[in-house]
Amino acid sequence: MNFRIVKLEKFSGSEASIYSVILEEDEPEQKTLFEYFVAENITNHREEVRDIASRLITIGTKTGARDIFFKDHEGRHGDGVCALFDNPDKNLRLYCIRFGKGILVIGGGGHKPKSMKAFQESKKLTKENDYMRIVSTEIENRIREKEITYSPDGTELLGEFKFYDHD
Amino acid sequence: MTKPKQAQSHTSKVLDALVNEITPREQARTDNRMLLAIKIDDARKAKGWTQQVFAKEMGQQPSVISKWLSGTHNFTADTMWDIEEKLGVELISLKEREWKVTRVVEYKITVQSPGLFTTEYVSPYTSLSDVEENTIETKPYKYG
Repeated sequence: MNFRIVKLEKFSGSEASIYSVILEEDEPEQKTLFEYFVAENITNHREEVRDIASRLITIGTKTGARDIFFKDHEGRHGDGVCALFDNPDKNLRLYCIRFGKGILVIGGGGHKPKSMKAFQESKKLTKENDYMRIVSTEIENRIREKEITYSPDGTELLGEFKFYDHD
Repeated sequence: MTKPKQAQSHTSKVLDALVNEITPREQARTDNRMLLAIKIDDARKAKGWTQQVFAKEMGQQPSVISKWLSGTHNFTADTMWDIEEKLGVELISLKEREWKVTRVVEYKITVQSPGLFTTEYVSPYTSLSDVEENTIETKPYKYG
């Protein structure tokens, strides 16, 4: 999977930088996974999408990405993928990757009714979760190889953000 | 040595429109809920309690505690008082809610001297709120 990481200025602030992913196939439109998530859900779940955006602003500007705001182990154990907490009366799931309190990578997600026990029951959620597992693994590899580092205050990633296997 | 580069900034009309839909009041409410969750969680950690212990102390399921700490919960006052009691943290300050009590007190002093004259003094103050604290003073009254 070829992709690059971009920083979403609308949500980032002094407490955390918030990033998303542009797949190579979406380069012509320059559309992140999160923008697809918004476009796919804004009509039927407008309030939930607005609430998610509002929480992302708070995370970036006021609180940082504290673990309590997320559900861990949303992929396979240890893959680093989590989901923004969804209320029992809400149905949207947004997949994320946290790197401490200061860095959050948001991807896509979708509708997950409460009757659904596991995301694997939905092809859409499985696909979105798979994307984020790959992104998580690739970033972890670059951090290990010091091709990506953290800024001194831990609120920024620095380094090479293109993950193209043909480069 | 070259300076490590930052990720490219990304903006879009979709995100601009989404963020512009959120009113300052809505954003402030989200901020407050998430900051309150952090305050509770910090107090829990200061107690040395895991979320499971906190749940047991509060008589709740762990899933309820997760929701409380998620930054999305709209607490009732009773729940917040219960949390204050268990964690020893102030979440609701009643000191900020002193309401002004206005009492209307009529001062009426009657001085009588049988056989000489009768006079009556009525205070110009009709309410304690008319006078500033400590400004009431006794003035000599000259019998007429």
